[in-house]
Amino acid sequence: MSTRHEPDRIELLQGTLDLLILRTLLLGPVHGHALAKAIERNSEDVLQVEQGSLYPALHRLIKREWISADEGTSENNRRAKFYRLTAKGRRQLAIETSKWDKLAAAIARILRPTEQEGQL
Amino acid sequence: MRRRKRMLEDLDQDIRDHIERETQDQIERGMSPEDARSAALRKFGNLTRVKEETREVWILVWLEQLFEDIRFGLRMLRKSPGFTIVAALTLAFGIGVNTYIFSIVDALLLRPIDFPNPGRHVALWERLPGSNVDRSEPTPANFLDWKAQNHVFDHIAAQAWWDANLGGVEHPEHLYGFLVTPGYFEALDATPILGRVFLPEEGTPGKDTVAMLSYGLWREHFAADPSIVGKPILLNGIKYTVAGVMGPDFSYPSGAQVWAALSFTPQQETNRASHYLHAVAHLGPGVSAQRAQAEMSAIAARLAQQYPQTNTGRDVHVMPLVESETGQARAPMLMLLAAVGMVLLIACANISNLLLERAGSRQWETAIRAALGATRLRLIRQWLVESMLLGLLGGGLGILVAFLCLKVQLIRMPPEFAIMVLGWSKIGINASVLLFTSAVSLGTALVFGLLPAMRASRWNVSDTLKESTRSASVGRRRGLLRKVLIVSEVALSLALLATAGLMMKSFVRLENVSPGFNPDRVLTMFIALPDAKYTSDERRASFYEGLLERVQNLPGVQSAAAANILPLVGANETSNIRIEGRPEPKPGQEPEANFRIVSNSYFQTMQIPVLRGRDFTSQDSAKSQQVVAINEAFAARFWPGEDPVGKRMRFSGPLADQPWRVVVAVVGNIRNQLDRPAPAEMYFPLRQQSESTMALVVRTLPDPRSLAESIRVQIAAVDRDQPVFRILTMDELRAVSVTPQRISGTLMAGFAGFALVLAGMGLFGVIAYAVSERTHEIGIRTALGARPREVFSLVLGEGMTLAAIGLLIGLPLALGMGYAVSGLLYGVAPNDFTTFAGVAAILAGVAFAACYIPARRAMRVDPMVALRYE
Repeated sequence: MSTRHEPDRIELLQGTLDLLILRTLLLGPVHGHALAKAIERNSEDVLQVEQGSLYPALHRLIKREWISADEGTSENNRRAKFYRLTAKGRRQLAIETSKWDKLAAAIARILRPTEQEGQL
Repeated sequence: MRRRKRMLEDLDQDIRDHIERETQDQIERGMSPEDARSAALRKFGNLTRVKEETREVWILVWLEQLFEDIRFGLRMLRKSPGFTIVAALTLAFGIGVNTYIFSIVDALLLRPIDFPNPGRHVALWERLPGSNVDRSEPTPANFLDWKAQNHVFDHIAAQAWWDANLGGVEHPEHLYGFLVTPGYFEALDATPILGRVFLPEEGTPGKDTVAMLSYGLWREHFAADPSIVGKPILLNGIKYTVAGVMGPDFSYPSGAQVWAALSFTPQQETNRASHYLHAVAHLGPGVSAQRAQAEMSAIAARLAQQYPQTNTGRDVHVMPLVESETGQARAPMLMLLAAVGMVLLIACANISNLLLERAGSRQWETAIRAALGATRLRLIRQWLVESMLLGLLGGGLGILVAFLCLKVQLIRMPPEFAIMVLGWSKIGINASVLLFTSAVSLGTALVFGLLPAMRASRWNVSDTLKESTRSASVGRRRGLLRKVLIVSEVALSLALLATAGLMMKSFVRLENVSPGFNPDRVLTMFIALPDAKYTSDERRASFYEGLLERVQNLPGVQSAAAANILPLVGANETSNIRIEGRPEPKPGQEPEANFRIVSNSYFQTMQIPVLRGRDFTSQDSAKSQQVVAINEAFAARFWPGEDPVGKRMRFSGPLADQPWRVVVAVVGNIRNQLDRPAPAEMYFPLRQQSESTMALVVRTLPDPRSLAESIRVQIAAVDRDQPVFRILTMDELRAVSVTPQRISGTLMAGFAGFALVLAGMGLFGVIAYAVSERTHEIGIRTALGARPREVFSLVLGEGMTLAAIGLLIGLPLALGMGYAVSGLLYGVAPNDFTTFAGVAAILAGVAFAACYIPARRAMRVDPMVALRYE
């Protein structure tokens, strides 16, 4: 994870990167650089991902058999590795997402108790 | 693993591509190529760290998955406690008996001697190829020639039994001692922890009163006195100087408590007739056992030419010391090891079968895991981890089983004899045994787990998921595998049962052999009179006669006698003889016979029948006519068809100067070893031929043990410094004499029984499962009019066919085993028909019982229920 501090940018929580990768791959297989770009773009550049940290995460997910890597050719006809979600990864994403939702809701309740009560 | 290799090999290229793309992006945004590149690198982060972290991922995840598998495996085992308990107990016994037998093999065969270079020590025996004698004790003169003429040994030494009575202590005690020539400890690579070894000059008469103490003796009797070296101790009434103390690990010959220097008198130095020494040697640097053998054979050939009368046909046998010491235990121990190995294989087959069944019931789970992306390797690993967990569980319990077996002493021997078995005291669960058990547990897990794992991981995913119930085609193939397993189980069980049957029958035969005397209610004990105090035949004879009279008068004593050799235990003393009127024998064909010295009351006490002539009487004294009693075997060998009473014989060799002796009696044969017929034996009356170490033989009215103390009191009354040792009943001696057969017989029977139970369980499991799988089919058959009887015989027939195939395959295996152990059998042929028929019948009976219950169940299948169930 990065140690630089810039305003408006948030460091990633441990394990969150895995979730983001899985979520991004749900849209279809992509190569490493495109994945980094997509995460940056989709988070409107708020989340700061040091691009290198993507690789240990990708390997971890492959090893867990949540994603797989295939050889392919990119848009400009260059050879590249395409990462793709496996069925197991899809299931894992569902589990992780619901965990995340629960966590986010819980934290939100703690941080803004009145609003939550009002909604109930 | 392949994935890891590919991913890591490509990593550099992937990262380079990534940075290039980023650089390109930055250039497109208007940066100069250099700035763009450094921006891309900055954005990427620390290159080296990224690579390192990526590599670590693979290791960590591998471990993570292993833990995951273990957790999952434990959960699965917990979820089906029935399976887990049956499998773990089966394994516990299978691994337990292996651990148990290995702990004995390890102590007795693998490491009986804790010498630094066991391969360099040899035992030297005389060998008579012509008469099939492999191990005859060397004579003093031969030993001295070997020592002087060989160039292959660093050290060569001789050893002889020595009864040492420890004096100067409150209760006189007999020590188990040995006389050894200087060079003995060097030949065995042994150094004392205190003092020194014997010096060369201490091997001469007059200078030989030096003693080496064993560690145990030093601790128990000399309070571990650190300044004991150089002090005098009293042995057999003579002062010996303590030369040193051996360490706790050195106990050779097994159980030795004290060693003293062995010297030879000038007469002994030329004695080539008295075979009583043991010789050990240490191979010189670079000398192979073969070269040593060649040289010693050459020396033996020279001696045979030089001394034809005594040495004709005598070769030297150079034997590795360990082999010389463990020769007798080897065959039965290897047989038991093979047996427990087979038991474990049967256990494996059973557990494999259970796992296959489990794989069947869990194929849905497996299919889902495969559908979710688990590779085949991963699935196999998952199953194997589960098997390993079972293996470890079984192994842990197995150690407990082995520990219990050792604790209750399944094999036991009186301590007086156990101490003489090299390595016996070291039997136990030690580090090498634990290592063995761990290896066996994991190896076993691999054996029983691999097949089901391969099988379980091969389910066709879509087939399994599409069909909601058991697939018939898959079931059939799996069924074949299970049948192969059960057939092998039956075959192995038959081999084990047959071997056990042969061993048991042999043991019972041996137990029923008449020893030629009545062994009931007889107490025996040894007394070793010191030569320094009892200097003449007459004094020794008086001691024993006086003692026998006192013992005879004790209440509860029926009769008392003395003899230099007890029957049944294989002890022996032989001598060369001449028969009056026969021509001088050719060299190497000296007639010899066992000789026994007995008191007048011996035949009556032992209840050995006097067949011809008269018993010894008190008239047979040193001054009267020299007499001898011979056994039937002696009569048959030297006076076939004649009446030997009144004929004469005398010794040859060192005792040749003794006068002719008249045969006064022919007595019944008695056995020195139950499994061997009696050889020619002669008996001399105590008054005419005495020996310092004799055994008392006392026939009692009550339990013989109860008289031990009062007899001891009588001995002390005659000579208060005289210890007694090896107090045992004749029943115990008899039991000791058949110990190898009893141990092998009972253990084999136990193992075979266990195998039988396992085979029965296995057969039951397979047939019951087949019935439950075929409920539908049976339902249809019944619905179509099949009678219950037909269903019953259908199922029973299937099981009994498997059993019959197993029996057929097992028969040659069993015969092979029988011939392999034929050397251990007594009075039973290795292909004994009744044994084979009996065990085959037992096995068939068990198979019938195992198939009967599922067959009954199949018979009662309600077609409506069976069809609705599908």
